[in-house]
Amino acid sequence: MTARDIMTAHPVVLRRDQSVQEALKVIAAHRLHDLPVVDGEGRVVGMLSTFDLVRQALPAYIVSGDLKDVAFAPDLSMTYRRLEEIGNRSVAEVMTTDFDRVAPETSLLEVATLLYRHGHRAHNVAVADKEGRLLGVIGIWDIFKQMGSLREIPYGGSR
Amino acid sequence: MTGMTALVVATAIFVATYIAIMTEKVNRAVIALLGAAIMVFFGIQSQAEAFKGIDLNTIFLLIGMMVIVAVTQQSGVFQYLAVWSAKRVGGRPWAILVALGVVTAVLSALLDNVTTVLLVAPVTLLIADVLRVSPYPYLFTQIFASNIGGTATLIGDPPNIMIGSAVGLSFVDFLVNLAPITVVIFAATLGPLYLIWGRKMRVEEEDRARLLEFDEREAIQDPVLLKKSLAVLAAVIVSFTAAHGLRLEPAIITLTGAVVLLWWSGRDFHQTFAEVEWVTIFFFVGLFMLVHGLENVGLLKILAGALATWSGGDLLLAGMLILWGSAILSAAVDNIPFVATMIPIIKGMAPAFGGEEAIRPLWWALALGACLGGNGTIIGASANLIVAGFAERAGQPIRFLPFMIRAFPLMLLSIAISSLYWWLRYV
Repeated sequence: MTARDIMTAHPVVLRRDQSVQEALKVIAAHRLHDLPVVDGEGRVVGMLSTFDLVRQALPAYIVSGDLKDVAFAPDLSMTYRRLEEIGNRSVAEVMTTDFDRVAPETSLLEVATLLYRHGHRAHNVAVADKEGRLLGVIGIWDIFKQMGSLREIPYGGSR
Repeated sequence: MTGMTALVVATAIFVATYIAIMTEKVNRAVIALLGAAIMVFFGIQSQAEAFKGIDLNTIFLLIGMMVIVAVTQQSGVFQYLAVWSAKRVGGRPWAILVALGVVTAVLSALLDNVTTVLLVAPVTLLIADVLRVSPYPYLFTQIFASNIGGTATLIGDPPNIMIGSAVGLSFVDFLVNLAPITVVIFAATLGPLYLIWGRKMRVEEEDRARLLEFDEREAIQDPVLLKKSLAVLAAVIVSFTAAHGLRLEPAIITLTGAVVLLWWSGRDFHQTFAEVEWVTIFFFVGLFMLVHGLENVGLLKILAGALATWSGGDLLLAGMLILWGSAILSAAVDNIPFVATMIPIIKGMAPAFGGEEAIRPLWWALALGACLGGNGTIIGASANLIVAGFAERAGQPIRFLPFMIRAFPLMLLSIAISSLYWWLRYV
């Protein structure tokens, strides 16, 4: 079983110049965690990860783990302000370029390992050819679909 | 290798190691240990001789304190104190700056400076975010507070641990000789800070109200651990003050406290020991061996003689030379290797001044200069760099020159106050 066999082909993609709010609507409509971002030639250039967006809305000293517990602080108006501000940015500004990209020949074992190891930055692995053109994405549900009865569940987000 | 050749070779190895430490290209512990090993390869001293240079009292005191801190910090007591003090002063911005400064100074006196700022600085950033004020003045103050507070006690700052251990000065000696003047210096430092930032600080009423909604009790992660940690810390400090009567050295007291707390708290042994800053420990080990090599070839005796001759056996001149010299050098380079080198030099000056008792004031001059000098630049002390790291990530970077323009004169002010104090008290 290789990446080509399990991936969702022709996935929904984002463009770099879209606003984050627009992009999130697309992500929500497909019940996904993240979507690949492609350039004009169809090359995958980044991944918009909802988890990573939350990280960007938090102050640096919390993300770094220096302040482990913030239960003593009731709320921060700045968290809303930052979320609002992130929503108005372009996808290119907030997407993560540190995502997993595999070749179509990669094994299911390796893809599942990547998803498990790097789940904190994106829940999808991009499958791309040698030129970097996006062929598909593999998410958690593409792995579960390998269980017989789950084959037809409507997760995946094909165009 | 003997005589002059050994002296030249040992000095060359030492200077090369010092320069390599200053360039910070390679880990400082690696460099120090490598330099120490090269001295043995060149026959400057045998392995056994090199190991004799390692002051185990300093090493185990540091390890013991690091273990105690590693366990204590998990209770959340540092965050508690920071939030409590900020609320206590009614959430007014200047008062918070002073309060957080006092908390930082007191904690730095009892624990190491790096741990203190590592735990207080993130809470400070959170408070500044809530109040929507720039964290810069707060972080600047914390740098000064940590170095000034660290000067106050035997365990406050590594130079003091080294001096106390090498000369046999007790916890009480440090408290009596240094703590009073650090209070004066801290108060005097706040004056200029008020003129620079304090008088212009304003916050919105709603933000102040939000800060007062903070619940510091929520910061306590583990009340049982907190009680155990504070009990052990208190027992260690009380034992320090009684150490002389008990015929105990600080290291064994701290180590006992550390293992009792480890056992009693039920924390994971491997994990806690892994939190000891081994880089710092091995840096000390390497430095001690290196300096011992210099001592063996007689270089430090020559330098001590030169310093004694130059000051003409005049205590005031020698004291001022050491105080101002170590302050300016410690602002530029790491004060740990500097103090490690100075200790045998000052010891060597004893005969010229009429014995060990007569040069005791010089140790206070060294401690004041080396600890307070760290405030002069952003690279002057490890705690400064930790705070600078937080400032950078918070988008308010502390740059070298802008920091130095304010910090260096303030550091000189603290040394001027120290000089006056030292002159009045010891000459």
